[in-house]
Amino acid sequence: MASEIKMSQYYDWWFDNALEFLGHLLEDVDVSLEWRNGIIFDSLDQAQIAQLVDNIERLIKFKLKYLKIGKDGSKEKANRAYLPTMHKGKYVNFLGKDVKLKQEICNYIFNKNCEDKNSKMRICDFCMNYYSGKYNISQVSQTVYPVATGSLKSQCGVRKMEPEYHACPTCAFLGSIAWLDDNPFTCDTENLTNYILFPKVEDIYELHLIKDAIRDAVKQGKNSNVMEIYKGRNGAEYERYAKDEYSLLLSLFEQIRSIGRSIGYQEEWICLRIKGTHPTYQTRYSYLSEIKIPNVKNLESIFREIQKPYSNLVDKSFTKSLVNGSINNNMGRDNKYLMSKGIVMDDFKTFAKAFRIRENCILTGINKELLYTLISQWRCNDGAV
Amino acid sequence: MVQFERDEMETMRKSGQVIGKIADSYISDLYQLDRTRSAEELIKQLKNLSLRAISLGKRSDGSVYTEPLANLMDLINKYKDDHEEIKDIVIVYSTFYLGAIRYSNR
Repeated sequence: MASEIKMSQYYDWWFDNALEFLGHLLEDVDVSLEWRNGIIFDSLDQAQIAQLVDNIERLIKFKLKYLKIGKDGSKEKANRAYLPTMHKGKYVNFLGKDVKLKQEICNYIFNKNCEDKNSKMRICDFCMNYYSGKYNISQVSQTVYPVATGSLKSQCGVRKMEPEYHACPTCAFLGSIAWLDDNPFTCDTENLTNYILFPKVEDIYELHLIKDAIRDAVKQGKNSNVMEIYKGRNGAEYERYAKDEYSLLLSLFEQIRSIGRSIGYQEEWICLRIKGTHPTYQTRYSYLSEIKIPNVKNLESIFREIQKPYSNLVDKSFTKSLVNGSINNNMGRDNKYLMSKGIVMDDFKTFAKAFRIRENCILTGINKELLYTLISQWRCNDGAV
Repeated sequence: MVQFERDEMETMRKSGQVIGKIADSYISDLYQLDRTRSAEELIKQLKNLSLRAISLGKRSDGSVYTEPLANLMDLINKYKDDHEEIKDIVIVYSTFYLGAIRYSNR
């Protein structure tokens, strides 16, 4: 008889998002789910587990790789850069195991029989449950939890800290599959940084609804999944995407609006920033920050007045040198960041900073009508133009 | 954050237009405006800008109106504690107009 399995919520941004994604995957293989402080479902049969692992395998090929088109027009599948999912060219942890072992691990997780405690059992550092580490996936790396410290004492920051953490198969499985989810991300190739956004919602069912809308809205691109495709003068297609977290958030709201869905300007977000060094090195630095939109009403009215504040206003701007008229891309990126941050955080001071003339460079390319509308909406009593 | 009246917004926009026009010939005046720290300094710099506008009007064919700048000084006196916010809005408009003057034909 099928027994009921309950996986409770972690109240942690990474694992809650992963658990929600697992729920989404289970719904794909026709498992009836209940969202209540976690997910509750009947244990899976062998066919369902095989299908689940098949889906995960397919996603690994689809989500962690992209089609790279070389200068001579040759096409090849390349790995998505700067994610800590690989080590020396191979996937690590659960992602790197072969299909049979993956099935075994899933079998262990989804058909848990109560195991007796014995001396070889360890305690998981995340969920505090007992486990036996027979699948060799219990070592915690950045794959399982992106802000985990490395295993070298000297790189931990605090030398007396326990440098190694251990996870039970369930936590390791959840942590690894979270990379396959459709979280809005963007990659700034200039400074080798990846920005990934996670909605921060306590109630897992609400999180599920929000992420469903996001899944419908995002596309699949090389450097970002929130982007616009436009045709260049020579007819070739280019992607236009945001280069920082605030611009990403603005363009995500635009994209969700454009498909007619609404997530009601979700207020709290977690931004994970993964900074890679040169692709040949393995070191990756991860930083975590929180974005809390202080004034949702203002953002709502800005979106109502100017339909697309990012792609029509911020993205079209560029920065020129006053001396020789050449375009300064570094400064331009900085200015876009300041403008987006100002709009999202309802901070006019930051927005105005972009317009200051710095290093003899001036911001241009702003649409006059949109700028008038934006400033009147933002700073005027009645908001009318 | 202070919310301004509609005619006050209009004053700031027009002064931005004037300052942008002046900055096209005298960019350092815009830098100076950005650097002011108090309401008094801001008003002093606006006076300088008005003088600049008059001299610019005498030299060139097109005249430069200084009326918006006078209105702006009144406005700063009205919102003395929030002069920074007025400065921010004026700078946004000035830079926008300067960019429009410089790069509109290219």
